[in-house]
Amino acid sequence: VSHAAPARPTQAPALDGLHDDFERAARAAGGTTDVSLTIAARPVCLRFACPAAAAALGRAFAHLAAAHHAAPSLTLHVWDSATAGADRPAFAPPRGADAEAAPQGTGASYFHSGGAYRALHQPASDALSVLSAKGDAGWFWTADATDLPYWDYTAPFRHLLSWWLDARGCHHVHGGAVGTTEGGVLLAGSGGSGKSTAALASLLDERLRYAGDDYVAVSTEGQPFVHSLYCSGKVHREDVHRLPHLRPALHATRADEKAVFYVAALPGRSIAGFPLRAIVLPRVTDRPTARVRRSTQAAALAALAPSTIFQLHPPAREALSHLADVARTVPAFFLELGADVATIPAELVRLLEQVG
Amino acid sequence: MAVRFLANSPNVIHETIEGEVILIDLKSGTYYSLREVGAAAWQAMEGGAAEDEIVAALEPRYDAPSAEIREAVRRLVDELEREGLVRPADGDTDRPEKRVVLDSIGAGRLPFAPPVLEKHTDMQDLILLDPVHEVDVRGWPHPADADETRA
Repeated sequence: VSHAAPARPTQAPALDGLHDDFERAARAAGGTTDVSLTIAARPVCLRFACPAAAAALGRAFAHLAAAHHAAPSLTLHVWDSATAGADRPAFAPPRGADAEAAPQGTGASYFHSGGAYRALHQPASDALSVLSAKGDAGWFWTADATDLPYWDYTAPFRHLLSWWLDARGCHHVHGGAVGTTEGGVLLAGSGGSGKSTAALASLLDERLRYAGDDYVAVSTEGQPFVHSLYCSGKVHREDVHRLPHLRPALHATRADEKAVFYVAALPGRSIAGFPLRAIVLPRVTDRPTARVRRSTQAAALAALAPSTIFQLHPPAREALSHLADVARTVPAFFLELGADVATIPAELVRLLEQVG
Repeated sequence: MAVRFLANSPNVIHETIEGEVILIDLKSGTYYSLREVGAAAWQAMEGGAAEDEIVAALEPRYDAPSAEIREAVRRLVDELEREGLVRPADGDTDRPEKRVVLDSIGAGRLPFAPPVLEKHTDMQDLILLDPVHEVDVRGWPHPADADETRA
């Protein structure tokens, strides 16, 4: 983390005002808090206008921190009004009647793709995401960075990262991932299928490392490779007692939210990425112990594609063919989850030895 | 008159993987799968076959009377059209008959079962709760009269 005068990125004229707003907020806060990361093997710089936003939204990337000297492939400028004391940017729409928070999801979103930028506004969280057409500079503003819902602050800048990754042969995928430097599995399925339980329970075994429980990136050029994006994990509060090994990584959340973990708090347990060896489809069963069984490529694609496509804004139609390529390349398995979550990692280790 | 059908793009996307077809309706969030006879019929349809030609492509492959195959194909095409997954192709109804050859299955015929279009609606809630409105160049963002349809 360093405090430095912000460098002005090259950008389309229409974005000047937005960038000026960021610079004003940073000046008022005494200089930016810059965080250097490696995301999907590329240098990325997060420039926060004030330390409170860095603390709230930088934590999910703590495992990807890296010092590098090359020019960033992406620079994200991040600020909010509440903690930076900054005005609402003129670029953002006025707070409207549809700003009611959605109880379960992110609510309606408004997307525009023009000559100079792509932009998304999500009224429920009052979050604005803008990426330059060149894809090397992005801006994220929200009303209050410390008051975003847990599904936002555990996976920050999701849409910006997905647009940036797409242009680089790498795709934002709805799935968890665990493995070793030799290779790992992608955990696919809709909410409630057991992705998070399987991913977080894998940390019971010292051999497995964590790349995410909900979103990862997968590069599809050549052998598929999983890139971790976020070290966060989320489980229902009633399941926390089943994961006592994660207690040091537990983050304080509101009583009406899921329990959140940041695995970077467990030294050596997160991983930046690995070659993809198998797609694993967790299923909650009434078995006593976990068991791996062979599945099909079509089941893997059906588990991965619809939820990936519809969670991205706008829906990522081309994800179907990318994910089909991935599903054709590696074998697919069901992971039947049993009552004893401690039996999950040994099954995954055995699977990796079998397919590795 | 031979009516050919096409996948209803751009709202419908599809992939065939290990002989199974996955279809996704981007507007509704509904996704579907077709296996075996259904997947073979889809392959023939995608190859440009009209209904009669789909039947002709399936007959040498499956062990069933022609009338049964014809009835099954008619029902499937009707269902695909009703679900908005296919639409009639424009023009060329007077073109010569098209012979579609499906992927080889080796010697012998496969047992026949009428195709089933499996329908999955678990993504629909996501579309209803979290719709994405594309807004135009009249001004970003322009939510007041945004198009209510999802991209």
